Order: sequence, then C-alpha cells, then structure tokens
Amino acid sequence: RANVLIIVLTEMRDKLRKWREDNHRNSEQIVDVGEELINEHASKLGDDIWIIYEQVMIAALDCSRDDLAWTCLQELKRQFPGSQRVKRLAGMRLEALEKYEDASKQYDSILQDDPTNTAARKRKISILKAQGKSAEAIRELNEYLEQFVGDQEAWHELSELYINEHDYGKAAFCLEELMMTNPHNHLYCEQYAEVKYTQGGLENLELSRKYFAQALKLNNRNMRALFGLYMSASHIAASPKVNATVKKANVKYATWATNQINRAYQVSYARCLL
Amino acid sequence: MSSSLPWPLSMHLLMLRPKRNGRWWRRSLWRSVERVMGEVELSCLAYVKMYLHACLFPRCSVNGLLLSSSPAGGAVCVTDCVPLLHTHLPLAPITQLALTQVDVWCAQTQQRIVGYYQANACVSDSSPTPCALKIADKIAEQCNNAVLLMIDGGKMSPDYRVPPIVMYERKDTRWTLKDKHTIMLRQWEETRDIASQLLDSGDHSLLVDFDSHLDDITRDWTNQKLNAKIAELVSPANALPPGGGTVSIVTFTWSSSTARGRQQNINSMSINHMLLENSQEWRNWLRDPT
Repeated sequence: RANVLIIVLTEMRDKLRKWREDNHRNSEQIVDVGEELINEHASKLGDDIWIIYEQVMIAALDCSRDDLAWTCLQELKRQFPGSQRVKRLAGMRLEALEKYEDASKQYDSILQDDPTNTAARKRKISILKAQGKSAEAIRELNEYLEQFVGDQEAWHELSELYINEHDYGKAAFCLEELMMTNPHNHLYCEQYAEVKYTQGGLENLELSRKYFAQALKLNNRNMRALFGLYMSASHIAASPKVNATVKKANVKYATWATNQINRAYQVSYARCLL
Repeated sequence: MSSSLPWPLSMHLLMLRPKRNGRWWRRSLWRSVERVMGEVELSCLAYVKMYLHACLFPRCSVNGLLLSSSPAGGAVCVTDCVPLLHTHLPLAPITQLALTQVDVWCAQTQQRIVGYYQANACVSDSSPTPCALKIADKIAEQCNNAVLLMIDGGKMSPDYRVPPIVMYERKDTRWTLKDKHTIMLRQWEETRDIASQLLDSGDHSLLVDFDSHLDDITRDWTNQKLNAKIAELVSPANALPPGGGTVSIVTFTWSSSTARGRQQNINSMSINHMLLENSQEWRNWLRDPT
C-alpha cells in the first residue's frame, strides 16, 4: 500500500515539474494537484516542497485562492526570511488583491537592493498592463529591453502589446528579433506573417506569404500557416497591380494550399470516425 | 476575381454580397401585434455559449459572432453564437478566414450573421475596441439591425443579478448604446443557472472556438455536442419556438409584463447600461482586395 502511495506521489510531483518547466498556465490543475500534495504529503517531498510552494502560490493567485496563496507565502517566508524571490511573491499577492501601489513599493524596495533584478522590473511592467496603461507599459518594456536584449519573453510580450495597440510595424520588429534568435520556431514565423498580412499592401502580402511558407516548412501541420498561405496567395493573385507571371505563380500556391487543407480535413474526418 | 481557384469558399464572399433589403416583413400571424423597430432577443443557447467562452479563457480577450435563424426584417432574434478567437484578436488573417467559414456554414444551415460579441481581457474596461468596431461595421454592411455586444467582465461574479452584457446598435455611422427596453432575455434566471451549472460541472471545456479548432481540426467549432447538452437543460418556456423568430411577444420593461399575441409566461429582464463613449479612431486593417 505504501508502494502505491509512493507511485501516486511521484506522478503528482512529475506532473507539477512538467508544468513548471513548460511554463503552462493551467492554474486550476496546478492548484488541485499541488494543494493535495502540500496538505497530505508535505513531509515526503524533501527540498522539492519549496519550489512547489512557489508554483502553487502563483497558481492560487491566478484562481483567486487567496487562502492557499497566503499559506504558501507564510511557509516560504518562514524558511527564507529576507529573500528577494519571496519578496517578489509577496508583491504578486498584492497585485492579485489589486493593491498596485503597495505592490509597486515592494518591487521598488527589491530594486533598491538589487537594481539588476529582472523579475521585479517585469512585475512593475505587468502592473501597468493590468491597469490598462499600455503606452507606459510599452515605454518601460522598451527601456528594459535596451538593457536586457536577450529576454525572449519580454520581446514576445512587447509584440503582443504593440499588436493590441495596432502598431503592426513595431510588432513586426519584435517578432523579427524573436525569429533571429529562434530560427526553428514555427510559431514566431507564423505570427510574423499574420502581422505582415494585417499591415496590408502588396509588399507585405508577399512577405507574409513567404513567412507562412517558412512556418509550414518548419512544421507542416500548422493549420494557421496553411490557411494563411492560401489567403495571402489568393489576395496577391486577385490584386490588379501584379503581372500575369506573378498572378499565375500565386494561383498555383493557393491551389496547392487548398489541396493540403482538403487533405488535412479528410484525414481528420477519418480519424474521427475511427 | 480569383474564380479559377477550386476552393468552394470565396475570399470575397462577405465583400461582394449584395446589401440586404431592410424592409419590414409582416407575417399574417402578427398583424394584430405591434412590433417595435430595433428589438433584440437573446436566446439561452447564445448567451450560455458566450458566457462559457469568456469563462474558458479568463485571461484573454475573446470574441465571436452572433447568429440568427429567423428571417430578416423586424426584430433581431439571436438564436446561436459561434465563438471565434482567444488570441491576437486584432490580426486579420484568421478573423477573415473565420468570418468566411461561418458565412458559408450559415448559408448551408439557413442562418445569418447578425452581430458580434467580445469580452476584453482587462475586466475594468468593457468598451468596444477598434477591431470590434471594425468587424461589427463589416457585419452591419450585410445586416441592417446588426448588434455589437460587449461582455462586462466586472459584472460576472457568481451572484450577479443582471446579465453582464452591454449592447450597441448602429445609428448613422456610429455605434451607440441600445435602449435597454428593446433587449430581451427569456427566463433569465434559468439561463443564468444553466450557465453556472455547466461552469461548475466543468462542461465549459467542451466549448470549441475557432482558434481551438485550428489547433486541432478534429474539434468541431459549431459545438453540436455542447448545443445538445444545453438543449437538454433548457425548459420549454425558455426555448425558442421551432423555426425561430416566431416570437410574438413585444417590448418588456422591468415593471410590466404585458404579452400580446400568443399567451406565454415569460420572465424577462431589461439590462442596465453604463454610459460609455466609444469615439476611438481605428486603422484600416481589413484591406479590400479589389
């Protein structure tokens, strides 16, 4: 019976580790699994318990489980007094309670002790975003990226902010940075292509078609890229500004995409019937 | 025109459809009933799916289309909705694709697109974004009484008494708040309870929006399974009559419940609005290909 318990425990731990490493935001699930682990099996987890407390606390804040978040925070404070990482978690709790001023002060105190603390800076930007102050958030994020050019997460966040502000040129620039450092990531190619398509104009449409094709080369099951290829190619073919050769080529691309789409749907229907 | 393409969908379907004639259409059954222009009825099915869509992606902005199976002219009866996106709402390709696919499906199932809904990620701000206005404008070109519906995240707490929605209609070229007396939800309490029940039981994860469909094309964005589940829970009084749109009940206000035409025991609720200004400028991201 003890063996069964150990197996269950290991499974739960592995699940939490996987979610932590993949940076999944499945907070409800994390709270379910994590709460049980903490309440029932805390003694058997060893040193893993602290990182689990952190993970569960953040998930609890995401699900408005303030009670659970408070418990986790207290345990962490007791074990690591004066830690910057725990201070940041305390700040996140204040953010969840919408006490943005207090949270901001908390992060400022972290930055006073350690001006290179990236986590605190990013939390301050998140506060601006939560308050709807997109322009300021964009400005702060740009300043942050001047110092920390390699922060992928920040570049992606900036591209999202620009997209929501309909500033497609700058969003494209952020995605270009991401594509340079992650040439094998089909999602960045595909998002870049979508932004170019949205910008419109013949040149941007051609670029978008090329990047949709690139995304497909990297992952031939990316349906968005396939549909995007069809749509950009048909738009180019339909444009009055293109010559006959270009038109013919794009009709060919669009037809190819159509066939691929049809095939993909046929395969999926067959799979459904199984 | 790219008519040489074998794909049955036409990219320009929405753009080239002739504008519908917004004439009055009186059926003989309703001759005795006075109808008020610009009335909108929201069915239980449409409301529940919209609500579940917003709950399924609480950290994202979500949007979708409102459909009607009733004929054009007179009151707008929203009988169903199609959840569309939960990522990158302002980007054009997937939105265009979704609009075209839904349009084709509607033509096959005798429905039409009569509106658009959106729930913003930022709970404190439920005003229509530029892309919401843009898509709603496109829909209004095809449907005279199109509505724009914003879900108010701030009002979606478990014990909410009022439907957490704000509705806009198009007057001249601007979207203005709709008169609350012309919006109707039958059996509001039952609708609300059904939505809560499905949320509590975790059935909201059955909902498939267009984005999820593109991630896994075996998933059905018309949500037939979920529709059936909701239909099981809906009582006869809350269901729309067969063929939709044969409602003969007219305007309601909070205090009065006068029913003309067919006798039905309807409990409806008018919706409180907050005054919002939506005079935002937007850029032209949906390019006309011709």
